[in-house]
Amino acid sequence: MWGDAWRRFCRHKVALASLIFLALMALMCVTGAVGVVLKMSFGFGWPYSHEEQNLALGAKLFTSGHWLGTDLLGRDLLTRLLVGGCVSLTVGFLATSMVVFIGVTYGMVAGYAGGRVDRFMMRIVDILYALPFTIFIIMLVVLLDKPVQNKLAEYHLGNWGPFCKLCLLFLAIGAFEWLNMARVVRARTLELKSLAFVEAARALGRRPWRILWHHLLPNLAGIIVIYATLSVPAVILLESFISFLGLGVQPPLTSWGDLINQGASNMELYPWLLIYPSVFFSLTLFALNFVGDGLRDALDPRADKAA
Amino acid sequence: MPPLLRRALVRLLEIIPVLWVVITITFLMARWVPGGPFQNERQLSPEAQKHNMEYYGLDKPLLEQYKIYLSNFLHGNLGVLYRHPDWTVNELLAKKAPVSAELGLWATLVALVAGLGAGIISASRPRSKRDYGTMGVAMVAICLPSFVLGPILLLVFGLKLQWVNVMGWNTMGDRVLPSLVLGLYYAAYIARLTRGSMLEVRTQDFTRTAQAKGCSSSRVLVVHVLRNALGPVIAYLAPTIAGLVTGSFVVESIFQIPGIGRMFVEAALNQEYQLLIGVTVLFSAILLLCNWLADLVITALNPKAAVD
Repeated sequence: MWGDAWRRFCRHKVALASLIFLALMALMCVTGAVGVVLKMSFGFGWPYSHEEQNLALGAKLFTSGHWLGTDLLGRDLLTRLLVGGCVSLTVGFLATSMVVFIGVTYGMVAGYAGGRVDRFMMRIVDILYALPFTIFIIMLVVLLDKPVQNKLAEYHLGNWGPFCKLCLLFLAIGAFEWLNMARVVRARTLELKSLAFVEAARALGRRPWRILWHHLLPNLAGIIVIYATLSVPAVILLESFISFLGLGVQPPLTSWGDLINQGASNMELYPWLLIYPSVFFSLTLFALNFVGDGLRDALDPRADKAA
Repeated sequence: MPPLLRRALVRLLEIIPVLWVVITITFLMARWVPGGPFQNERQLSPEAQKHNMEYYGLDKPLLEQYKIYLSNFLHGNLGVLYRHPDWTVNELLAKKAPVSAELGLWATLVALVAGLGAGIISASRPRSKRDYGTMGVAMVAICLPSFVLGPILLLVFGLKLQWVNVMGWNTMGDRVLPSLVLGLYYAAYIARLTRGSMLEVRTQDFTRTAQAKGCSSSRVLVVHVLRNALGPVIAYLAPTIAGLVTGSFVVESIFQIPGIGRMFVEAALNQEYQLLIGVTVLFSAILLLCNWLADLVITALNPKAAVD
């Protein structure tokens, strides 16, 4: 199944190009971030760090050594873009893994249990679906931030603050984004449940958990991969959205949404501070969406291609 | 009672317990967290803080505060602002909600007109240059979120060309860019949805019958195909409204529009509990009503869907 899917995926030229682009982007961001960590702890590995200021230099479009220019405080924009990209992509993938975990478990249990349990569980999903969950994510992130920071300060772990904020962000996003995954997985589980091989496994006396794990999960893998890929851009968008509002990642750490926000507030005099992050962000989003579409075509040929 | 009316009433009544859950969750989330609206104000002495907490009943046990809030809520009193005591939440919402609502309506209009138009254009001749061009534009629009598009359009049309005001919400011209920025993403999504759904309907027998009996192709497209293809689009309208509601946070902050969105963010940062709950409940109520309406329209268009 996977070999065929890979061949079908490769025929989709744009999707393949997007995948290569994403791999390069991720590699660059990780290299940059690792370089910055090395630079900050040992003083070598990367020419700048994302918080190293050079006030005498100020905001420049292009100087030797700063290929994408510097921001108002003279910080190297390329370094900040790579670190910000690493943060955005990390939040994207961690939140997506949470989405996959909750959504798949919930959907499979609801679908396999069926009957009243199923109806009850899906009613909860319906209700959650009808709520403005971005609002709840914002509330969760903002309200929980202060107590968490206070607790950290109590245990003299104050410098883990930005990191914890990040965790809070992806936990909050993951806690609300799993609904779509649960719906799709449940629908497919219902279909699979009535097939002969599941009946056979049940007749052989397999326990429900074993059936879910050994028989259903491998058959669900295709759509799980598709919807996970499609939820990565959605999650990254949400993270940037929250960071753009100034509620997400806190300075000096940064993310693409935060960089776009800073760029937008200085765009009159220093338009490149807005344009470079926007280009990085939009291209990545573009590539993620195309990879998602390509995977859907490759793994699930009969899927509805509209949405 | 006709089944459609019955369904409408049942679904409407179901909204009430959901709203109650929203109030409870929001209240617990907001009040469980230590600290309060006065904690950040350095000028206030601890005694003054304590007095303020007592004055607003914030020192009572949580359950009691919850009871008081619920009873006020049922009497239509959403509470006061702790930091601006001369405003009540009701007054503030009444002043700012119309602005957000207008922005949302314009954006919905953009999303529907542009989205349906583009979808029909591409579905009328699939796999043509026109189709690929339109869908390409839609893909670009989906990947340009409002917080990227907004500042860039503002930079070009506001600062460089000076066609529109950079901020404010006074003239009709001020409405153009914000509505466009807010609605474009959803227009693109609706365009893709319309196209896919129309292409699916086109392959069905009744379309061929209509063609065979000599309907003009535009009549087939609009009367037979579009009408039957609208279901998914209407179903998507409810999440669209949800997105517009929260999307307006960003657009309002980019274009400095005095709406609810910006207020919500500030309320969360300042722990203005009652405002926070008020805004959340308002948004949830709007969203639930939209969902209810969408469900109703879908059932009316296709009674078979009501069975499952």
